[in-house]
Amino acid sequence: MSDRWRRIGGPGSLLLVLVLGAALWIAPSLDGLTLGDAVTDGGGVDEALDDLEPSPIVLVGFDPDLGTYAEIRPTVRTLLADVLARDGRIAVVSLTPEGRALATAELARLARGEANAARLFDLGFIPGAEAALVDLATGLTTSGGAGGQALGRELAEDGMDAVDAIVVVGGNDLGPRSWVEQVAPRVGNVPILAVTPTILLPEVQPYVESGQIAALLGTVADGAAYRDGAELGNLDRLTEQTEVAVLPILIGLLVAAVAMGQALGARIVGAARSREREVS
Amino acid sequence: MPSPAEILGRVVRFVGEVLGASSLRFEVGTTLVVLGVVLVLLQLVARPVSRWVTSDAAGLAGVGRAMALAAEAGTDAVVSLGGAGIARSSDALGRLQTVAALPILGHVARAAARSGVPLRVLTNDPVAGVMAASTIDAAHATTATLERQGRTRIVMVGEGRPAIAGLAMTARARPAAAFAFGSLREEALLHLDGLRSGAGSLTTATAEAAQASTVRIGGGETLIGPQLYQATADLRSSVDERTMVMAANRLIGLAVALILVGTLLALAGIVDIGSALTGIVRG
Amino acid sequence: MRRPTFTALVVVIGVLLLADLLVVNTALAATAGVIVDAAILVAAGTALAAVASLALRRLADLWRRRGDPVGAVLVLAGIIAMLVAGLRPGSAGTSDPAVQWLVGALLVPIGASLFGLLFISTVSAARRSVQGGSREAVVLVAAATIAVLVLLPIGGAAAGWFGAARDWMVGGLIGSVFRGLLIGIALLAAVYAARVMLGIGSADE
Repeated sequence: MSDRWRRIGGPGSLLLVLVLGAALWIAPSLDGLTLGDAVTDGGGVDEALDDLEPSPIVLVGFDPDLGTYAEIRPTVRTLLADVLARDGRIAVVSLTPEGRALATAELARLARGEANAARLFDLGFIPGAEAALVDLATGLTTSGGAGGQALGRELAEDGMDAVDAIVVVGGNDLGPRSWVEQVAPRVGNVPILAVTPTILLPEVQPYVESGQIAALLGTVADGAAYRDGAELGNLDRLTEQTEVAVLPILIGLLVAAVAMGQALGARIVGAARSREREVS
Repeated sequence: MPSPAEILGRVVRFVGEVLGASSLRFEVGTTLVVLGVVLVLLQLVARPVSRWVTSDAAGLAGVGRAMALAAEAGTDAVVSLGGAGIARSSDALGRLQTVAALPILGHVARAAARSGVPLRVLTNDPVAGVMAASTIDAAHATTATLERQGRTRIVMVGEGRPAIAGLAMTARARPAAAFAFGSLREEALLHLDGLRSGAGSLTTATAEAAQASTVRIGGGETLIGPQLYQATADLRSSVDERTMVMAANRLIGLAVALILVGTLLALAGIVDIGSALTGIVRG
Repeated sequence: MRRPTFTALVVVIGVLLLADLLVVNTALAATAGVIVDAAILVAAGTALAAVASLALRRLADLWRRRGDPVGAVLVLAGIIAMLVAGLRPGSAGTSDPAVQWLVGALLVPIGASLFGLLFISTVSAARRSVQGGSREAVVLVAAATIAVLVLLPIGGAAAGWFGAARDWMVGGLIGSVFRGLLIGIALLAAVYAARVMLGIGSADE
């Protein structure tokens, strides 16, 4: 590649990506593109929620990462709305500072969307990583929390015995694996559901295979399939109001495939030419 | 005054009461697996084995040469301890990688001390910074170069993984060599790109499974997965390091045998070892 | 040379917590609970110490005119802004609208943008590694290219085929490799942790 192309390649690529991204964000989605597909079953979350007791208390371990939260945010908001739509109650706890920042933002958003405040309880932030998880599992306390009084009283009296399911929103340092390691052995048969970005899939998948995680929304396709099938009624207002644009994702994947494919092709051609020169 | 027999009887009864009031949290199989790790390690520590084949996958044994070149060029070297820290809100596997990175930091620090190359150690956790400082002090003491101690800096970049990746990306420094040891997660490639862009060489070691391919394409010498924990055994002839790796190798052999036997038993419909270990009956 | 007091403390606490993990016993749980509470307090104190040390370091950098003055000013401004927003009289703490604005308008976009750069850096790193010439890099990037194509969000008749291919790649091909990696990491980590817990070996270096 000539020096000229090398000089304009970097900024040119960036500009191309930005212009395409902006144009495609404005353009409507094309027919024939879908994030969820026929094979994805929405991660088994529907079945896991259906198996819960009526009016379940769901403990949400909210520890996503700032960088990857955008990938799972629509799914997380749909899941929270789904739990509320099933007459469930939500207690939110965070074990990382970033997770706490995002948790307060989501709780504020639920309040702005006029979610039933009596069905929400904010348990706050507990430092200490695994020590915090053990403390939560053995002695859940509501002393630093705020929210629905009846829900708070029930959690204060019964601790983890009052919790019917755990939803772990992962991405940050403390994710579903830490909850399986530290909380699951101490709380008996409380199902753990997880929503994680795709980058964590290799680490979380084995726990799904072994049954230690009851349901996982670990890819964009899983999340899309779950969101398409969720029946939320008027709580649809609590979900992401703008649907994920599929076209920029498609273009991004194609750009990546073409860029890597071109490098591979150039390498193969270069290797073939050098072999020809050796032979001749 | 109770007789010795009565005292012994009371002790036995007390132990019995304590055991009677206790139960296993996990299934028997899982408990034996956890205890087995400790037992295998203790067995090898009690009877250390001396035969060892050095692999040095990342070429860390040759770091002295890189430091000599850095000394000639008058530049420094950068060592990043990854993003997990010691006291941060990170999971134990991440923090353990930071602990495992310290002996490798010691190896680099000794080479740097001998060559008179200042080190810049990047960390996002104050406790990791203190431990790194202690490691570097020990390196200078070992190499009798205490007069060079003040040139090395521990840089506390702030909380969070993005902070350390952002600093690596935006720093204008041109170190002779860059090293990244410890937990590198989704910020790995940003982190390594930033270190690699100005440095003469890059060596990475992380036990994050999801980032195994990322650090490979990041360039430079790499240690992935369990190699981070066994690196020190190749750098030093310490019996403790090598018995640790040998204990792990025996356990890996046992795990492979268990998987093979368990697969055959599961296929034959006799028993599902996975369910026996986790206590979860799979559909 | 390691002090025996600290080693003994590590061994006692480590064995106690391991016993609490394996055995359900009220007295043991109570003792372990004390240690867990202490760990939480230490973690909270360390987090505060981290912020304080960062702020003091940046102040010292500004005072002595060394390092990056713009970065130091930004770090201090960010710390002060968040502290004022969260701790001023009448503030609702982390739920306060001012804190929410700082998080939503600054922290989240900056964090998301930083990781958005991963797209460019990953693709360019892949190209660079192929150009570097190693066979391993060629195999890695070729597999990544195929995986990217299989991930295309195409509907219709192709969706089922792509989805099945994706599931086979993740569950069969990639999953089997990662299982080996995860088992190796887990066992080495367990043995290393047991070594630290039992105080075996040298403390530093």
